[in-house]
Amino acid sequence: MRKKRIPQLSILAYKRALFCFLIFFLLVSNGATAGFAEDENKVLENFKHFSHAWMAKLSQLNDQNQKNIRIESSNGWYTGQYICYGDQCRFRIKKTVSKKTPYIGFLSYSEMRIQKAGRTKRQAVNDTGRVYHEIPVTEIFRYTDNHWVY
Amino acid sequence: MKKGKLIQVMFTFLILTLVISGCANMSGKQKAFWTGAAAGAVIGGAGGGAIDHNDGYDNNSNDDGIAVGAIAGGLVGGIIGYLTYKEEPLSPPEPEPEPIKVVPQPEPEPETQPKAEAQATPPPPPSPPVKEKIVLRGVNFDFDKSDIKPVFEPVLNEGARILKNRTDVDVVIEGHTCWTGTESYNQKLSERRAKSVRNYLVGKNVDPAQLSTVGYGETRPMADNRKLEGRRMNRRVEFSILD
Repeated sequence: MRKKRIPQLSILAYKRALFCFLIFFLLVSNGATAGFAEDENKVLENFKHFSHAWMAKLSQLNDQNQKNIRIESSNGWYTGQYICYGDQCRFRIKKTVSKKTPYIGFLSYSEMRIQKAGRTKRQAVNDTGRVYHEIPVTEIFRYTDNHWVY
Repeated sequence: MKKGKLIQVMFTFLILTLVISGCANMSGKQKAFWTGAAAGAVIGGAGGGAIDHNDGYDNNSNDDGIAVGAIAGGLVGGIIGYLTYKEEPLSPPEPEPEPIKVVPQPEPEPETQPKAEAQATPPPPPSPPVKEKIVLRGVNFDFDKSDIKPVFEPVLNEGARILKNRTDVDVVIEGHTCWTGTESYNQKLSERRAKSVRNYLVGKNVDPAQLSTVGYGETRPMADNRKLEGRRMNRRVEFSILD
């Protein structure tokens, strides 16, 4: 009876297989990392545009608030206050563990309370105003279903 | 003297008289004299010539009559004019125009910037006690609901993380709505949602002693409620971090 020949791998073959596996692993992991980074850059770019659009909305609010200011008379002065949002902003994103909301975005700017004053109503309206209170604001947005939600 | 020549002399005299009387530098009486003399010379000359012509003695005497008449008439007319002239009362001088009273006016204040003096601006209104604000966006509850959806959790978790690192501050969780719905409904809804967020944060180990809640309903819009965009901006939860 002839003995069945069992194929045997030589040590060299093992080494080759290990080497190929290592190369394959490196390629795949590197690709995944690159893909992730690309994804994050894309989301960051997306949030940058979103932030600029948001700041433009706040700028419109500034105009409206200034236009709709209520001037009142008190102690020989005409005064009015309104809220103004600073035009300088900082933004960043952060990865989360949520699959539905994989990123959140932070947008920071300043909120100022401005007083306009004058001896006459006209003077008060034309006054450039003075900031009497300023605070930092951070808005946190979520990135759900590939878009920023507010 | 021939008649034609006489008339020429008279005419010249008349013109001379009129010119002289028109002189601006002459007084009123002088003008009256010369005007009267001119008129008298014409009338006297004409009268003397007529008388002399009617007597019929001598042809040449006609000329003499005119000359004598003109001179006599001129003298008489001048004297009459001089004597009859009445000085017209001088019209009273026009009153000098009222001097324009220049009332010293205070320097107009620049409209844009009041003077930098002690009383240049009124005291500002009291500042709110808020020193920082964190606005949670995308925490959009379903209609009439206040339960936390899983999609909100990353935003709320980040809020919890920030507050856990700021144990020294008090935080007011504010609920805000747009103006859709009645005022009283929105007021209660905003309170429920603020409490719901507070409960979630406490569940994430934020110190409950730090947290208080308030619902502002639709009373503190940040954007125009008449626009869809504005209503979306007005629906929000804010953390007001106090001094």
